[in-house]
Amino acid sequence: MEKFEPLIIGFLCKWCASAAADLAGTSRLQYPANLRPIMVNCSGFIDTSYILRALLEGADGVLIGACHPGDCHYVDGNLKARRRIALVKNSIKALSLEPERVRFEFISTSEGVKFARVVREFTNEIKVLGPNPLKRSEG
Amino acid sequence: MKGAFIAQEPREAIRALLKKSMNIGLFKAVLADRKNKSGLIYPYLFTEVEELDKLVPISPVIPGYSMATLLTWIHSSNYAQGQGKIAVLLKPCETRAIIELSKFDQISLDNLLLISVECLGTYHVLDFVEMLEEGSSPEESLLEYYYRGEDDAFRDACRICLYPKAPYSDANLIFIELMGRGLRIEALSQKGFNLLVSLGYPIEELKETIPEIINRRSERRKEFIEKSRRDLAGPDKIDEFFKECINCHNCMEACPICFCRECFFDADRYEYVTKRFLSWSPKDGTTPMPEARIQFHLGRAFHMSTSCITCGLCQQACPQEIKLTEFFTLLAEENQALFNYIPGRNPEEQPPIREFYEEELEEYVGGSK
Repeated sequence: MEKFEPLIIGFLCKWCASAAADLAGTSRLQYPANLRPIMVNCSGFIDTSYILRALLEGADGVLIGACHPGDCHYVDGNLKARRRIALVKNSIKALSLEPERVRFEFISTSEGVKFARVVREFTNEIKVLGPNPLKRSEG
Repeated sequence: MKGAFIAQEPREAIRALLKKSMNIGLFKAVLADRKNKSGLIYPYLFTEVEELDKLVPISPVIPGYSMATLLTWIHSSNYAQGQGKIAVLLKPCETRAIIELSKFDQISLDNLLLISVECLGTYHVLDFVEMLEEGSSPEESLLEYYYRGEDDAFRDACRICLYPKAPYSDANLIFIELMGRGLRIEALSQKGFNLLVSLGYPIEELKETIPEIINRRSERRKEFIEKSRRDLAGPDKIDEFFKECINCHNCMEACPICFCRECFFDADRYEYVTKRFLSWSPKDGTTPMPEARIQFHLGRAFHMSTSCITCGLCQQACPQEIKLTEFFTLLAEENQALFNYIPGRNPEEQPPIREFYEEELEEYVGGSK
């Protein structure tokens, strides 16, 4: 059997997690290439349906990178995001799907090391979970 | 709680109450049900006192839209100013929907008087039409069911409803336990109290009563939710559940909580460029056209389930008779429990998706849950 390489969509806040990804890169930190980062202006911009759509249209996992509480460039977008993620995870759990496929993390600009660690951990977890059964078709 | 008791047949008492208040100019119009030419009971806006004789005070059916949806058309916050007061005769589920919509700035409560009539359930609109065709009177049979405390003939959502009385309104009209001998008006807000004062009704202190049907129903509701959980367990069951969906979006149209002018799922987000259609690489030489059916139902639930009042109008509107009440009751129950929120309980409370705190929901951060 072919080795399973998960596809992970990352919605990364421009002001923190995206910059942390850059820092991880310039620091030559190693992390799996399974992540497809999408830069967003704020984690508060991520609608619940974006996560759902990613999961239904081919992603095996969705990572959301937000600023730590109190650090949001737009004051409280990250706290709104946390509520929405809780709502998504709670809903998919009620439907006996896998809430582990959605991961919400606070990652600040200076946390390149944490960013690399989170991507490593998450990729490994998804590898254990296996391919996402919700996938409609590949590509 | 303050209130008044009127020893009169409840339907007559409700008409008398509305007539008297309109005569002394307490409000300009009444939004309530009336029979149309074909015998179907449908919402009308009453602007003349004489017409109130035709009003159906205890309606056996919610034919299409909830009164809450109708109010967003005629009484949205943009246009409500200075147009005079409107009284609305409501079911408890409609009252709760109005409270939710007011929190989302879709209805202004300022010029409204919410009068909520006690309700044990309504017929499915198709059952109602069948009764008309058979020549029986749904209005009369409804009251017989109410007085006997039976609800087998009502819609699924009604049979598990825990709110025969609205938790918040201006005035609740209670009549079932009085068995047709009277009407009790409970004033739940200052506006409701003022109404009783203006009408000159004898005001007394009332004891809070809990309809005994609630005990029976909370058991039934628990069983119903467990059944829903089984019917919707995992991707295959979910596909099976929605297999007859024709993507008509009627459920969204009928939903009183879905207030967006253009639904996210009707927008052009799902129009792909030609290149993308052709680049989806199927393994067997065909590609299913995108339909976003499951995405529509789940996505809609994510958007509105925290405010879902489980009125069941989605299921009534579904041409394929998909058991949408199961789906939404399950998600509403789970998501409202997460935020300890009950829609329609209090107009001062903020809905969960409009409120947030710095220290909360820690278990949803990181890989822990």
